[in-house]
Amino acid sequence: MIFGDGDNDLFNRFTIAIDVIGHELTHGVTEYEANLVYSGQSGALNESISDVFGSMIKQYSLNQRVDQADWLIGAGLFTAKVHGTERHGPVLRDMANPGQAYNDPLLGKDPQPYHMDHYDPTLEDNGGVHINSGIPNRAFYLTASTLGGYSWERAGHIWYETVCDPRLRPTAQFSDFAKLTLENAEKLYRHGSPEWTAVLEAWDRVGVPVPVPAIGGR
Amino acid sequence: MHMQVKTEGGIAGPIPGLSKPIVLDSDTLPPQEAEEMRQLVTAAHFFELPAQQPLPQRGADYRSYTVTIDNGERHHSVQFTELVADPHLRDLLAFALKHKSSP
Repeated sequence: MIFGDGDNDLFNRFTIAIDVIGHELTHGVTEYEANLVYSGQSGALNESISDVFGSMIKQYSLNQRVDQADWLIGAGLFTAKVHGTERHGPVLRDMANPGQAYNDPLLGKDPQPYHMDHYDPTLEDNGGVHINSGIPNRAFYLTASTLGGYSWERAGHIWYETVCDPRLRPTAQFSDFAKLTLENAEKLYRHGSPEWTAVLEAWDRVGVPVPVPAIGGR
Repeated sequence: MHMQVKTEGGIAGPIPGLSKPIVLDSDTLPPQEAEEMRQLVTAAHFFELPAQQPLPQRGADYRSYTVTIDNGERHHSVQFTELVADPHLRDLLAFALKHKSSP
């Protein structure tokens, strides 16, 4: 497991944030349950799953409901030299508002997209695994926010079932993952339930629409 | 001798302002450091190394480095991650990272 010591210039030690520790531990779970290839969209899903469960671990530790959570990854990680945004101090990623994690004269602006229209086809960063993860991150945030309550109870349950779903292939794309979250929402709750509808609408809002299957259809 | 080190990855992912490569040149380094750089490059047999070192079979959020060296006669790039086993490459990287300046 890799964290990093920071440089005491722009970065504090990387173990300062519980969600970052949760992020790294989740990579271990994903590796054994889904083995998502660490490049392109499957890599961005791998990264997003780590942010999703890292954030839920933070929320659980603080006993926060979705409307109390900050949905930020890496709060406290940057030193006081770095500028944040209008919404909050500088962080690594903002799951509710991808692209708004930091905006700093030295670092530049957070490159994460919040919608498929802005998907970055870069070859760097293993095909943008830390960049395009903003899209599935926001889909989870939207699902959890629509449902309210504690994120780990319903939205988190649906996502975890999907990570463990044997149909999730190592090379899964966003649309494959989205389809499986909807199928798991149907399995756990039912077709047309608030949970199922929240998942369907969340993916639609980030530009990954899922074709709606017939009731009970696969 | 000219050396460039490009860094990618890490848990933070690519941060636009930090993507500038480290550039070192034996003509502008203090003589002792220029000699150290030459010795490290020789010890690593840099120009004989495969362009791509083995990638980790597991793990995420590791940093990747691309080191490019031009000694006037030869020009070569080697890509590896922070998990690289070769101690000479690690020494060469540590030397370069010492010269990383703030953005």
